Amino acid sequence: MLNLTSKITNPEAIKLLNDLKSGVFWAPIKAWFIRYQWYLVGGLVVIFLLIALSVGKAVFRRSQAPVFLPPDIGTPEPTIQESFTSIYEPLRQNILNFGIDLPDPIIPPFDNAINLESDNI
Amino acid sequence: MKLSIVIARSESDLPAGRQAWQSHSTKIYLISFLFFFSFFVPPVFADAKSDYDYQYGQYRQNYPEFSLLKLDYLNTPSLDNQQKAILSAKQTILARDLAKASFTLYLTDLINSTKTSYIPLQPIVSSLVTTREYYLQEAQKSQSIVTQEGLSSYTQDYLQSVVHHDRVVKFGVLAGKISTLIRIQLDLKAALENLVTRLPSSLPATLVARIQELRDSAKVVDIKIDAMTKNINFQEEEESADAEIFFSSRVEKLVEIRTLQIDWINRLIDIDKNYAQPNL
Repeated sequence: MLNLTSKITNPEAIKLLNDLKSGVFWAPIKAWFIRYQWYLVGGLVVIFLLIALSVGKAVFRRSQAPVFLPPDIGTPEPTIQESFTSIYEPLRQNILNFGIDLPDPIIPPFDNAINLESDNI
Repeated sequence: MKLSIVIARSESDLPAGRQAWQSHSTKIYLISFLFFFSFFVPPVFADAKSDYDYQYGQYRQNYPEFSLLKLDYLNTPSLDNQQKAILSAKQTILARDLAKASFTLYLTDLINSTKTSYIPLQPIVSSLVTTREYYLQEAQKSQSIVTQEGLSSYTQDYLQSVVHHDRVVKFGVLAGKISTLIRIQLDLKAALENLVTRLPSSLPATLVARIQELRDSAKVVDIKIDAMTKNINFQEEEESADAEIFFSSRVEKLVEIRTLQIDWINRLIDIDKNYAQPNL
């Protein structure tokens, strides 16, 4: 039967495992983090802001620019004025058509002296 | 055999009673035919104006012809030219007097069509009728002219007698204008009475005042027309028709009266618009 379990015999690996188990291995990393924690926090904030800017820019590009139009007020229609025609308008027209020239009708010119005398022509 | 005998008989062989009956039936057919078609004859729409236009056209056609023939006669006084000129003169005189008679009838029709029967104008209307008769008589009388002396004599008499009638025509023109003004005035008064019936029963005081104002204005126009008519003086100053200002002096009065009438009707229409129209 095949034994799948393995036994670590390398001393460096054993040492590394022991360091990991005891936490010695993480001590310098923790110290580094503690030493530069504010730089990390600052860097994360900057990265977050950059990511937020890029996300916002992408969102802005994707969304259509809003079109601002004046509200629809409808088609302007001409004001219809109700024309009033009085029943007495024909009378008014009669007066306006009344000719003030005299003589009306014009009296035609006639030659009353029709004869064969020479002084007439 | 019997049929051939009937055909062979000529009309002269027919009995006298049958011939008379055939002649009688022909007359009946002819009368029936005329009676039937009398309903389909288009009427001639002639009036005084068209008659005058025709007669005056005849005069305008004849007068130049007469002038040429007269000139020919004066240049070449032959018997032939004289007769031609006299015949043309008779035609021209006939056309002239018929044109004058038609013009007089036209004026009479104009006055009568207004249906005013204004008493101060009645002498002029009566004179127009007499004048028309005079022109018709002269037209007939002129056809008896034979010689040049007869023509001269006729014209000499005509020149003396026509003066009065030519003046009547001038007065007739004025009478026509005045009759039209009176007709308008009567129509305006009728319009006011009609408007009053269309107004609401309770009238505001301002409207009552405006209606009264219209009545007063109508009286003013009446007085002006009356004064203008009396100023004509047809019977007393007949010779005034010969004055150059006979017509021109009356134009100003006509303009004044017409202006007053236009103002009057405008005020009437304004009342109609503002008070007698419920939908406005």
